[in-house]
Amino acid sequence: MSSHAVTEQTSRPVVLGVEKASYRYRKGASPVFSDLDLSLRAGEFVSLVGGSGVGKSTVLRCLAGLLPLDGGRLHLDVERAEGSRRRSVVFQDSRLLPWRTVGDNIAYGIEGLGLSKGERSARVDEVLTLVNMLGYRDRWPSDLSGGQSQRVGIARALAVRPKIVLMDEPFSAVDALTRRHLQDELLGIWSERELAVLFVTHDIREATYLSDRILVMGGSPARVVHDEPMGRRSRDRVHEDTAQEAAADRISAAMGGIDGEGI
Amino acid sequence: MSAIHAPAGKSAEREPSVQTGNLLMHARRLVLGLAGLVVFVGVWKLAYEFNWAPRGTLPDPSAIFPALRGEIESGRLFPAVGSSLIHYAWGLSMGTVLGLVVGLLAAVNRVFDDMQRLLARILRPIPPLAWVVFAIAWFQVSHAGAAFVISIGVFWVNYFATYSAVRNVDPRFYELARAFGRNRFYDVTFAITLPGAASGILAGIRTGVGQAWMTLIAAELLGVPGIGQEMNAAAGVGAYDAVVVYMLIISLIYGLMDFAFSLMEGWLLRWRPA
Repeated sequence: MSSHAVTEQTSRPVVLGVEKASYRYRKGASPVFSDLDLSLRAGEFVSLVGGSGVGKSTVLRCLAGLLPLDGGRLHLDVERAEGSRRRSVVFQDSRLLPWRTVGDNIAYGIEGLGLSKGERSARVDEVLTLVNMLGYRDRWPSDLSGGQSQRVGIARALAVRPKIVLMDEPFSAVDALTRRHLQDELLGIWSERELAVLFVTHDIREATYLSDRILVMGGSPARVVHDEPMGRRSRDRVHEDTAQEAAADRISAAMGGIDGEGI
Repeated sequence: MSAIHAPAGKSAEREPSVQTGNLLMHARRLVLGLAGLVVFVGVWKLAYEFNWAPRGTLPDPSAIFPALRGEIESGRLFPAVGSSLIHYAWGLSMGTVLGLVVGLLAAVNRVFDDMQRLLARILRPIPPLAWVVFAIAWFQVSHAGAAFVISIGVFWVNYFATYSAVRNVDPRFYELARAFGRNRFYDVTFAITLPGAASGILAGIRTGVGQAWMTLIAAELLGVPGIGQEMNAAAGVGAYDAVVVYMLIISLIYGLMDFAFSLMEGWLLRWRPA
């Protein structure tokens, strides 16, 4: 990693963000988060970490447009290309529709995009190939393992050719080995497709392994309490271990310092 | 990387010993089932021989097949069955469609739900046969009248089944629909709500398929042509063997329909884990 890489990155445009954002589940309830600032740049991989229940998933849902902000501003600044969506979501549970085959689950996301049947089918094959699941196209979700389901969930998110992917602890329910495979696959896809990824996780190791930048959420109501740049990742993992360790320590400290929850 | 490994195979790859075990279990069931039938017919024969029932009201089991032939040859059986099937088909489809639509609307629309709840509570306890009076007043003794009475029972079964099945659809699927911009009403209804509620809805329809037969016979006993009327007519002249013939015909038709429905249900829900 080099300082040059870091500058190159911060000069990219912000594609999604919130300013002074707040959210409460219902009127009169205390806010889950408030005064929260967060931005995601084009092609950037940002992780959002924090203790459980701090509101990471709620932030993700607001960014995804699934929950309305209570105050503040959300900006989404990407062009919507023909036959695509600007952002898409990968959920913690893979959330495949059990009554649709793997292929039809992926098609679900692109059915409203005005593509022809042939184009849809080609897209399904393309993203299934990307996640190494092409042979599973006609299977039912109930036939899949947790890791396979999550691959299909990722494929469904990619099929809409988004510029931004919001991922809500997508690998938290899979075993450690599968998780590492999926993380590497995700990094491959991320760099190939030049995605901006916001990745919610409670796992600091996962965050340091994957991210360009790590945001720590804490406090009540929550806000972003620490912003740790990781720099552009080189492929030389061994070389990076020490830097990652140091970053992980700072993130732990930031998390511990706020809600007393050391990890 | 190759993370692709086939999941454990289904029936085709099961161990032979398991297959043999299943076969034995099926054979055992079949033999015992037939034995139960033989015992029942035996007791019936005894009852007939020793006049356990008032004289002339219990037919000889061995008279049933000749009676069946008699009903066919006299030209009564097929028109009666045909007529009943018309009532059945109309009553069942009207009751099913209305129950499904009203149940669905009540489950997804709060205003409609609140409007219908009290009304449903008042109307629900009224047995379908209590409507016979109105059926006769409005439709006279006609196919439409019988279909109307049948549809009422079927309506309630489907209404309740659909309502609760739709209410129980996992809300996370609706969030998924929104995440992919698929949140228009008809889109959500056909892509999420109905498939998500399918197993409950189908269970309701299947109950309705049986419920319709129950009311059908009762509705026809009041004079609309069909199996029920033939039974009444046969009993009137003491032809209890013919009554039994019609009872067995009902059982046969219901059995066939339920079987056909179970095949369709299995196909529609083939995505469920075995």
